[in-house]
Amino acid sequence: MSAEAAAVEVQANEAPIVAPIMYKVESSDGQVYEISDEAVKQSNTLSNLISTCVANDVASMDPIPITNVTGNIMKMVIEWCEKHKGETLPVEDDSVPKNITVPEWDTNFLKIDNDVLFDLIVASNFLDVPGLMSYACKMVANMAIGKSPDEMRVLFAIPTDEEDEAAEKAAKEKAEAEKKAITEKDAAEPSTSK
Amino acid sequence: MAENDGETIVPDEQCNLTASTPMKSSGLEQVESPKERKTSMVECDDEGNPSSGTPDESPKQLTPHSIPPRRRRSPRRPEVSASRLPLKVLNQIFQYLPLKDLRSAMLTCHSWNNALSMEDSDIWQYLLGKKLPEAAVSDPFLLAELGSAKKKLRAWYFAWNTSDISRNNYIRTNGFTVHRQPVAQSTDGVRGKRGISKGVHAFDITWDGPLGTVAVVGIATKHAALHCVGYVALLGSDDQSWGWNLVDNVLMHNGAQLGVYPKMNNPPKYEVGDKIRLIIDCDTHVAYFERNSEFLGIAFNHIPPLRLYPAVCAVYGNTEVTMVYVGSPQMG
Repeated sequence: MSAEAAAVEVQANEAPIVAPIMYKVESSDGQVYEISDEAVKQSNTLSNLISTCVANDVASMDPIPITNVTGNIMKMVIEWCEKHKGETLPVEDDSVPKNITVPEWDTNFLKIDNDVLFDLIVASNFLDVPGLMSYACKMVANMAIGKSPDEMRVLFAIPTDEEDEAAEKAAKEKAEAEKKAITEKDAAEPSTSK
Repeated sequence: MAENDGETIVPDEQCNLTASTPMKSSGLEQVESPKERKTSMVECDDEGNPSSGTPDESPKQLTPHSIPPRRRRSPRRPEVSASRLPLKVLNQIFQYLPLKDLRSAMLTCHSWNNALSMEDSDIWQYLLGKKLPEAAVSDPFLLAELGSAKKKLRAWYFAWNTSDISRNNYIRTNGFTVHRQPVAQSTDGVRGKRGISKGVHAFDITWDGPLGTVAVVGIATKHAALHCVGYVALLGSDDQSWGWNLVDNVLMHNGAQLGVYPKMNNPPKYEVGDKIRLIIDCDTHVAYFERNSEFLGIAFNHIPPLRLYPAVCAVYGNTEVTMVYVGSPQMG
């Protein structure tokens, strides 16, 4: 699948007259992805890394290792950056009203499982992709508007204090039971040898 | 003995396998309804228990900006969840929420409460600029005693009520000062926006301009009248209000004078511009005043458990009264 996707991407990239420079990025689980020089500008972190590593031969460069973003999330971030390459980064200005409207493509792009959405938000925070960050946070805020605290906990899978303590207690009991079983097993062996 | 040991080990393994299976299946689901999400949460708890016995697995490193977990958690639990987002991310989400939803967010979990408890964060600064009139924000003295954006925003929600006021009064553009127009033979009052019925609350009241023959500060229920003909100590004239007339230092309630306040010989006259702090203790059903931070003694006791509003009534033309809510007073 990834090979076919890469082939499709290569064909698409060859369509323009001037082929873009492609940089390689490696995720925490060893997946390598390519991102164009225009798309890289959407991520301040990647832009800074690339601008400080001046190299003539980009093709021979090792992939940039990003050790705290997993492969599927990295793929999504790169897909978003490629879609929005050439766009101006949003400026954090207090005078600008903060009623962002999420475009339709981004709305569909962000209709994903909440766990994946939060992973994507944390990754965009680390890679400093302000556009993706704004849209993703807006999506989360739209989910939260009008909800009670209990509804927010259910929606975002946030445990209550009671649930947290119950889980810790159960985990502790489990550990103690396993320890007791090991102790009994050790006690049985010496008697057998005797 | 050996056979018994074998029997005890096998069920544990089966329990582990059984517990781990649902988590994998739930991971395959792309879209979950809120009900299914609840189930997923339970499965996550179940899945977390057996893996606690395997110390080999260590959780992945969180981003440098992550908020440290409140407790040590099972490594199989999600590394990133809504309750453990970095502070910068939480602030960016919260900036899109209206005030009512921010309150719900504060009650959702500890880390969200911690993020929103920073009273001068961008969220409260933004709401302050959005809600308060420019005249109030730019006034260097009006809200000087309130140390944070959140407290200033809260004071705005307790300020004089533009919809609960005598027709001869109007609220100035700063939102915190009431102005009485020069109308003859009329007593005119105003109430605060929000009443209180629990806890201890303090209101700073400053009378700017002459007092005239009647200048009463006090508390009123929703049903106390705010206007009458003539120059009357309206606050305290019935069982719905309690008032302290600054002109003659007399306390009034239910039409009866309760004596001079402060309770001393020749209590000092109110100086125009002095700050009076009205403190209402709903839990012990008393109200009292401080003047320039000096405690003056209990003014009213045995106040019934009603919703009470700060109020003033005035008779002098072009006199002005400012009221700023300060929250719970510092006991000292």
